[in-house]
Amino acid sequence: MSEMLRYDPEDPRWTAYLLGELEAEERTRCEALLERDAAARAEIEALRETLESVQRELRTELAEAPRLDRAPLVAALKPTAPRSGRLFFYLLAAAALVLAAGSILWDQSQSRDLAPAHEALVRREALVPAEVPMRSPAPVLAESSLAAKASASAPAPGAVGSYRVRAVAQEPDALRALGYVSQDADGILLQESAGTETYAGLPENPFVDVARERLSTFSIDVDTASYTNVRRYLEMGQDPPRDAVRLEELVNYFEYDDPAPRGDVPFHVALEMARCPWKSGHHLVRIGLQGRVIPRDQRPASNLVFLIDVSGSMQNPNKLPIVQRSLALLVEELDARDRVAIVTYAGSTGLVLPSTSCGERRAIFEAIERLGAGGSTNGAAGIQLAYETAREHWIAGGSNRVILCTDGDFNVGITDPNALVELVRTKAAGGIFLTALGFGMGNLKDATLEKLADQGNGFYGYVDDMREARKLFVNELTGTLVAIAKDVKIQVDFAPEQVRSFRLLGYENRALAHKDFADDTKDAGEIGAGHDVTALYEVELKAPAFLGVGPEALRVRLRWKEPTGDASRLIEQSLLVSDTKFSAASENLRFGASVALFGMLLRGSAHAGGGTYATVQELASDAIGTDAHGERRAFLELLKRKLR
Amino acid sequence: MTRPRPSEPELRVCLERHERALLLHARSILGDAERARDVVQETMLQWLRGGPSESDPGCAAWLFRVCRNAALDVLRKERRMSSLDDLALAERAATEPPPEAALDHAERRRMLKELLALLSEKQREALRLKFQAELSYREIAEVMGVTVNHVGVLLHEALRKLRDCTSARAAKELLS
Repeated sequence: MSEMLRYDPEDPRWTAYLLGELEAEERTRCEALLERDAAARAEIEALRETLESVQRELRTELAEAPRLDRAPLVAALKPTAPRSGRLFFYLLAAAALVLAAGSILWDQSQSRDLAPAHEALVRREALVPAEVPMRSPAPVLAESSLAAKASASAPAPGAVGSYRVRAVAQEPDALRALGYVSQDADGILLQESAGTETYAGLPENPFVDVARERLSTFSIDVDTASYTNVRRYLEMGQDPPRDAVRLEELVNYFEYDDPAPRGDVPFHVALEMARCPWKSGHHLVRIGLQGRVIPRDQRPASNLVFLIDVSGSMQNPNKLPIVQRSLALLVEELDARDRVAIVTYAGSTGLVLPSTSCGERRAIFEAIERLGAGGSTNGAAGIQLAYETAREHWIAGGSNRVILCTDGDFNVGITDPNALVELVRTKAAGGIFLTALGFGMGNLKDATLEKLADQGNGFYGYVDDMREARKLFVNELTGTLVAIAKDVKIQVDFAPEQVRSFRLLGYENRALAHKDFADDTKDAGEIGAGHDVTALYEVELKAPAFLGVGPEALRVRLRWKEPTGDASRLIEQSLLVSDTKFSAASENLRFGASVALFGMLLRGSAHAGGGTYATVQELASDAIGTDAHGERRAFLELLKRKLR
Repeated sequence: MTRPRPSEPELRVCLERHERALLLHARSILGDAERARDVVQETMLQWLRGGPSESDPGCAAWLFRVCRNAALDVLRKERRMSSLDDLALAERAATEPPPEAALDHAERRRMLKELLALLSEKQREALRLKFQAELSYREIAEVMGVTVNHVGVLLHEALRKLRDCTSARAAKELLS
């Protein structure tokens, strides 16, 4: 307004002046002009009156405006959350079966005939409830009837490379229907409650007096769901429910730097003892299993495009959240040569994740995390977008595949079913296969999915719970994920002369009866290629070791089977008493201990001694190591939420 | 790193602050309350999935931009079938039934609508974004995809037109 010598009613700055949008200098000029120009003053007053009445009217309208329905939005806050005991049951139950899928895969690589693999799975599932004493009369179907059902419902393989899987769920349906009670893989009852999350009661392991009980027997657990769940809670600014915190899953979430196995034992066992940082006079024992890494060059690279239905009906806890979990699980198994892209449809259509190397897991996980069901807008050409993305990132000699995840909504952009089938057929001929995965019940368009998969040279999986999801995702999609050992059991034999008492940190729901250790019919966890598994004990020694090292404190026995074997093998390793200072212990022990303490504090454990979140920070920040995927640093970030 | 998913309190604060203005904004573009609700619902879902934090100063502009684009998308799809121009839109907005409120309310609301119908679509939108969403010129520019200067022109011309009309109306009333 440097040239504002006289009033110009068309100058938009007058309105800006009235709305307080002018910088101080210009405002002063305006005021100066109004001061000396009465006509301008009158005009601006009239303008102000208009402005104020419009403002008043618009604000009244605003005050009376309708509001949104809160419920769907509040529900959408936690799309990845286990919403009920039911879902949590799936997560728990999945642990024992993660690698069952791996072994099935192995079977498949031997033969395209699915039947033996199917029976293997059924047999395994039938055995699960026997692993831990049952607390309820849950119906357990006879093995033979299950197998019969399974084979009856699995149609004969069609064209080469095209078959359908339809396993029978063996959940205690009747029980659930009657009393809202479901059961996890270990036979622990879960009480479902509407709208709130319910977790299996998980009393922590006590200190065991070695004079009365020198053995400790448990199955390994490679699951990590608890850490993810705990992280979700903390990021929401809430403490997780105590029973959602499972120490072993927290500790095993992270990678450790144990030596690779040599010889014909598929895993390396590392044993170590050092002083306990939270309880003076106590010691920690670390057992670290490092699974053999299958050379990456023996596995074809994968170029996967997930085409995910995010319509409102997918919001159901056993639909989209299971898709998300499964995807995360799969990505965990892939590496930098593999690519994953995500296209959504039927809610918001789009390339949610451009084809991304699995070396950038973080970006992929974030995209998975962001997937939310909602909206009902008809998607644009979701399926073409998926195929285009797959084509653009074509891997010669690799597995190029579109994976459709839906509960039956086919608004993929092509409404004519024949045109859709034709598209899928054409693309399959061009080398991009389609896998169709149906989720949830009720809305599933069974025949259509089946037809699509047939035409797409893919397979059709029907996923009604997390176990199925894991089996199908890990089995077919990782292509070459191989279990290197199955039914891995650990038995620790403490020397009563040296150890007064011990406490196993975590693995509460993995406990085995001592007699089942050598019983090859008793199922246990599997180790996949490259997996590492850590178990920590807190022990009370009878006498401190002389000069730092003493006699044998304990003996670790490990039983496992080859992935297709029936007979277990045994190895044994012993550990001497050692009074190593905590700070002199390996990074593996130090970081693992910090995570375990973190879990104990979250659980309000009676055994956390003098440990605090500050202790966790101190211990963890000293043991970051190489941290190739940034997970330990992220842990420190997460920890800050508890330090504020 | 994306920010953590909003907490429920954050969602509630965000809704409290913006939902009604968003609904009115969407309704003024779409002409009906039902589709406006769908669009705003979708906007909020998008925000939950990855919008700026509620305390972020850019949050309001982000919400209105997303909402506007979603509403225009809906319109564009319709236009393929029945071509709608600004005039038709103005008519739709003007003929929208008044809310069920007290009579004088309804009367004033009718007058407001009549007056707003005299403006161009963009002028109306800028007014709503100013007085209902309480956005700054810069934010309005961001939402509407125009320059800050143009926002100033839109608002100034809108107010001048309204002033002229109201004074004409007042004069008419005086004469009658």
